[in-house]
This record gives sequence, structure tokens and C-alpha cells, in this order.
Amino acid sequence: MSFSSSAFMQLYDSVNSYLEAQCIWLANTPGGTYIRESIWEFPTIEGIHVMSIAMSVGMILWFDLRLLGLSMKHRPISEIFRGVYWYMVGGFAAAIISGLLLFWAEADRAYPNIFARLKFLALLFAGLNILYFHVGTQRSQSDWDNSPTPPLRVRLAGFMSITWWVVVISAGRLMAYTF
Amino acid sequence: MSKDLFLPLFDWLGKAPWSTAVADSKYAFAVIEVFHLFGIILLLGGASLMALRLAGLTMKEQKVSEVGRQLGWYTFAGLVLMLVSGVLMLSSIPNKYFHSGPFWWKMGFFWPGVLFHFTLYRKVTRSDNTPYGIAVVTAFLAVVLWYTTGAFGRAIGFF
Repeated sequence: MSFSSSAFMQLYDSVNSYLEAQCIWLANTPGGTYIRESIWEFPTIEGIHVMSIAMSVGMILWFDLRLLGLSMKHRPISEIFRGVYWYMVGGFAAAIISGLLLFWAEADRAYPNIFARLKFLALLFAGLNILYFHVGTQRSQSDWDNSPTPPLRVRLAGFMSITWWVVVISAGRLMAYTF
Repeated sequence: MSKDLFLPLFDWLGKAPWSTAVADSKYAFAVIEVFHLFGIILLLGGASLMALRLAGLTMKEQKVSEVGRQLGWYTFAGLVLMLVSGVLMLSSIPNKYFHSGPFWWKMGFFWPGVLFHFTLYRKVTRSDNTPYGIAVVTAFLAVVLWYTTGAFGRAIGFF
């Protein structure tokens, strides 16, 4: 039996064509067409998307640098977290809403794009990194909250966060070049 | 002020050795633009947090000068990264930028932004006894100047 006809590949092909059809349908709904063909709306949403990424990633960066012991190292980690949290959440909300609107308009072109897939994958890993930090690493926070240079696993969480956001931003910018 | 005044500068940048290197490469422009974005994250992220602190909206446990000292170098690095990558992009297609409306609007906010950054902003973020009113005006200017610069920058790609 050849590889392409294996059960796995058949499943992959059917999921793939299903998702592709959904993305084509989504982009051609009246809303998607309206955003895509607009003169001002699309660039405005795109502008909001970039500025809200600057706000959200720009905020999370200070927390990550604190985890790494590279900035504000003489302040408690929890204090830096409280300082950036709501602004970061606000920025992310704006980035996600504007990003979904952009995806709505260009879902058919984003679906097969390698950079778009990379961006979504990196977003997933950024989310998993936050989840792992929250449910695992953070349980011992009282031991290292005041530490100027926290333990390796804490620094690693900060490093991975910066890494995933670098991939998200790079892939996001490059997908627009390859549409 | 006529933009024609800047024509010799654009001509010179277009003939610079790095200009053809960027223009001839398939990926250079895209990669440089990604680094331009990293610069924006550092500068706008730093200026945003600093502005929030100046307005008394966050990190009040730390003195203004303390936050300023911690963010200062990252923000400065962002500015340098943006400027270098920006000049490289401009040099590769000077004609496009010269005839782009949003580009000139962007410059109209960027250079006052740079001037502001090294004067009022620098002074206020290094001091702990700035009157609250002046601190708020400084915060407002930082946000407006840098975010407007960013928005017009994004618009260059569209208009």
C-alpha cells in the first residue's frame, strides 16, 4: 500500500479539504468581501492590528525580561506582572479582534500560506507556554518572586515567550508578502 | 517646506552600495521589515509603559526615574533598530517613499518624536519631582507621537 493512500493520508486530505472549503466560504461571505474590498476599513484594521501588537507584546516583553532577570530585577516579579497585566490584556483583545477581522477577509489566501500556518502554530505554543508557566512553574513563585535572577525554569519561560512572539510577528509580517 | 529639498538625499540613498544590495535580494526587504517591527515593539512598548507610569496608572511602587532607567536602554535600542532598518528600506526604493503621502506624514511625526524623546521625555523620565501636569502632557505626547508615526508607517504599504 502506498503512503498517499494510507488511512492517515485519507484523513488528512479530508480534513484539509474541509478546512479549505470553510476558509473559502468565510472569505466570500458578505462581511469578508466587504472588508477585503474596502478602501479605508482594511488598512485601518491592519493599522490597529499592528499597533495593538506593539502594545500587547511590548507589555509582555517587560514581564519576560523580568523573568530573565534582565530588567527591573530588584522588584518582585508579581509586582511587574500586576503592572503590565491589564494593558497587555487590552492590547491582546484588540489584536485578536482586529486579527479575526483580517482573517475573515483573507481566510482563503491565509489557509494554504506557510507563514500563516507558522503564525498560528507559534500562537498556540505561546499559549501553551503561558499555560505551563501558570499551572506548573508559578506554583513555587513565593520561592523566587523576589529573586533578581530567578531559577532556570523561570528564565526559560521568559525566553520561550520572547521566542514565540518573535516567530508570531515575523511570520505574520512575512505572510502578507506571500499572499 | 517643499519635499523637493530632500531630493538629493533620496538620490544619494538610492545610489548607496547597501541600496542595490537590498533591492537585488528577494528576501532582504521582508527580513529588514521584520527587524523594523522588533524596533517598534521595543520603542512603543517602552514608551507605552513609561507613559502609563508618568500618568500614575501603573507600577506606582517604583519611582519614575527607576522605571525610566530600566526601560531607557531598551527603548533607545528600539529607536536605533528602527532608524537603521528604516534607512535600509528607504534606500532600496527611494522613489516609492518620495511619492508616498503617508511617508511624509510619518516623518512629520517621527522627527518631532525624536526631538521630544531626547529633550522633554528624557528630562521628565529621569526626574522624580516633575509636576503631575507636565508628566501627563509628556505621557500624552509620547503615545501620540509614536503611535501616529507607527500608523502612518503602516499606511505607506497601502497608499
